[in-house]
Amino acid sequence: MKLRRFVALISVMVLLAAACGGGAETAVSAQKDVTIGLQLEPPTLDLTTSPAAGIPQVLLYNVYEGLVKLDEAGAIQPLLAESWELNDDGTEYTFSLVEAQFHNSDPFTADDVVFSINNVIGEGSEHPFKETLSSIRSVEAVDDRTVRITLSAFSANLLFFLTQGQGVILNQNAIADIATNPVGTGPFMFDNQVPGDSITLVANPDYWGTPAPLEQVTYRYINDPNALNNAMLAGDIDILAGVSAPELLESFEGNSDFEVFTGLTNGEVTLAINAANPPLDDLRVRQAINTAIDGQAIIDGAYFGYGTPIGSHTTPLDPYYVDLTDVYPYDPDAARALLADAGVEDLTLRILLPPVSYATRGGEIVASQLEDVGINVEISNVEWSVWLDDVFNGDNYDLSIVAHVEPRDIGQYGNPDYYWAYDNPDVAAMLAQADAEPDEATRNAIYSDIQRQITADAANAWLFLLPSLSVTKAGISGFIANAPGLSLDITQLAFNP
Amino acid sequence: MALFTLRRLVIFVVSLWAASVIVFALLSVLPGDPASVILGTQATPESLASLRAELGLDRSVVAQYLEWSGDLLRGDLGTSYINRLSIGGQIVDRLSVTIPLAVMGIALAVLVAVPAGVLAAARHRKTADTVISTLSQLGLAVPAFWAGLVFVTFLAVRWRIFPAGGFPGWSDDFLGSLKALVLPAVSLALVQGAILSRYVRSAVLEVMNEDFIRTARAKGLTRTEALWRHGLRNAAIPVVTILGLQLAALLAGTVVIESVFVLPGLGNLLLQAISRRDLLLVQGAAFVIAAIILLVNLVIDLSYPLIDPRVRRR
Repeated sequence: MKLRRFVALISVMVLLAAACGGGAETAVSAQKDVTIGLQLEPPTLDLTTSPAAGIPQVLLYNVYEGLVKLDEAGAIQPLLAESWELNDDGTEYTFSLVEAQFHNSDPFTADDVVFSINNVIGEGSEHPFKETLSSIRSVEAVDDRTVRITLSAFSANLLFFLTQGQGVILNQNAIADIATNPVGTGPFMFDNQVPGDSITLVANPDYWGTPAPLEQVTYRYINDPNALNNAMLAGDIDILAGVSAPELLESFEGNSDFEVFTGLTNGEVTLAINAANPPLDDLRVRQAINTAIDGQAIIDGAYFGYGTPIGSHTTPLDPYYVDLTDVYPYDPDAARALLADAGVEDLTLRILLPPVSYATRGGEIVASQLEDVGINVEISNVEWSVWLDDVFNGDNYDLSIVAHVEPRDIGQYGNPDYYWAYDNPDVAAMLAQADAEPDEATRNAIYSDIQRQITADAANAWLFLLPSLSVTKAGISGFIANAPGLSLDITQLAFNP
Repeated sequence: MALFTLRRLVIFVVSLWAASVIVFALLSVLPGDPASVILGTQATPESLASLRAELGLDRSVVAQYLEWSGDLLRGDLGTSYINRLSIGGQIVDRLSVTIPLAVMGIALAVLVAVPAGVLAAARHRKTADTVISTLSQLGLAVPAFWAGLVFVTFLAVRWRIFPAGGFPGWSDDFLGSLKALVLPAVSLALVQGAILSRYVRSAVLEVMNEDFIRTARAKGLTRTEALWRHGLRNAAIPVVTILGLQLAALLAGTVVIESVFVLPGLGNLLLQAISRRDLLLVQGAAFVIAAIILLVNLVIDLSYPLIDPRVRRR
């Protein structure tokens, strides 16, 4: 073997590689297809058996539609129901339906609504969100275009839940293949899935409403945040939705080829305080913890400055949100005074942190801030299974950090058995009263009082609102930055000409 | 020869069984209840109980193993309880990425390393040897995933010659799929090639000091002729052994490289299954990887007599 031959071999390989590299250019003008990079691939497409958030992210509003939908601001809007009425005692909804058809050309009728809701609430249903529709007693088709839902008692959150995956209208004839070929009424039809790589949707040519501007949407699943970032920088994807590593955003900030979106979510990053463990049952100790914490420092350190301060367990996407961020201003001296007042000395608290960066980073900062006022903190970083056992299902912890991503979940403060063991019968009574109040203004007023009360009780310390961070190529319109529900709504998405 | 083959086959079967026990045992001692992890914060006592029953978690570990290994004997890896798809089918799908990737990686490594190693040995202590040894030292020091990240940064992000990751699928876009495997295969080959070239070099050097080479040279062959005619085949046995070990390391290495390049291969499936706590799938995938490695070793073992007739008499 001569060195020359060896060099020749190398050159051939380099040439081959270069030849493979050609022909990658695609036309940019009047683009009708978009590639969206996402992190978590849905394990299945069947949202009637799996609670995985990756399923509604792709399918809700795009492929599947419900009677109602959530808009960008978190307000409820008509979808397959063009209008609805509630009777005076709040026990009967009557929905008027639009004229539409499924992707398999079956017409959409009131019977489909009856079928879909019974599929969730019926006997033997293993729907992961069955409980959320438990206020429904029965559902019946009045005629083809009218459906009536009878409630055992009014429930304020029912319409909201009907905007989510548990409210989508399914096709009876397509239910057998729901895990691999979802059929809905939406502006996009399911086209293809390459497990481990991508899901493709195409425009529905016979859509009943305003058709979507795009013709094809490809979701590419890239689990590693760095690889996802590289795919965006390399132009392999047009939209990077749901950035989980905010430290990577600086490569897009200030670059005119990209646009960075910071939206709101329902994820309250909560420093959970286990009120069952003394001295955390003492209001003053919990207030001291709240006062000792500098929220902005945590946002900066744990989430690189992205994130909105919150002062209670609600978000600006909730219709009853009250800004309570000024109740416990950062004041280490006041915190020390509260602890002295409670007669607490040499307090050591154990904080269990699940394996997510906002918790592990935030936990370090919380610990140093608490140590600053004289509370010793033992940090344990744990796996999710241990977190579920010790924190969520046990009470083997003092503090923990987790984002409560479920929307409208303030109701947990009425459950004394919930993992933070907050027990205030007044709050529980107000929650029951609010959920049963059909008048929206009255209801929202009660919810405002509830927020004020749990904050006054320092039930937990609410660190910040998890942001919905996304990057799009410049020149894309109709991207929805907020994530009020679980859908990544692409029905308005378009490339500017 | 027949005895040799039989002995190797028995070792293969016993190792396979041992692998199944180890894979199963390791997963059953993991902390945490898989059912509660799968259902997460939505779990109710009823749904937990029904999932436990479905997964067989309510039965003894031995009963679970017997059922799993019994199905395994029939070639049935079961059904994933997360996505309700056949585990065997999912693994075969993913192997259509991983096996070509590993083969491309090892082929590239061999194509570069064998000539380079032989050249270095032939030019022992001359410039070519020094250059090749230095380069291989460098290749050894670079982890495959780091090389992959550098390739992505320059060839994909900066110059956009290759995609930064992803895999279009063989049937949809054959050339695109091939192209998607180039950077990952080169990243894998870099390290494995560096290791291999050092083994080739030392194996050839060792052989060149053997008596039969001296005899061949005494009969009038030049050093190069003696190397080609007698040296290479004798140097092949240790090199083939290393190749087998490397193929095993490569299969394990694809777990990392597939995640850097976002390839839907077996390593990626394994990672995904672990994060979803899809235990049956993790079990199946880990077992299949172990089985492939054992199979490669069996093939390597069985190839010895073909390379070196002396082995047949052993």
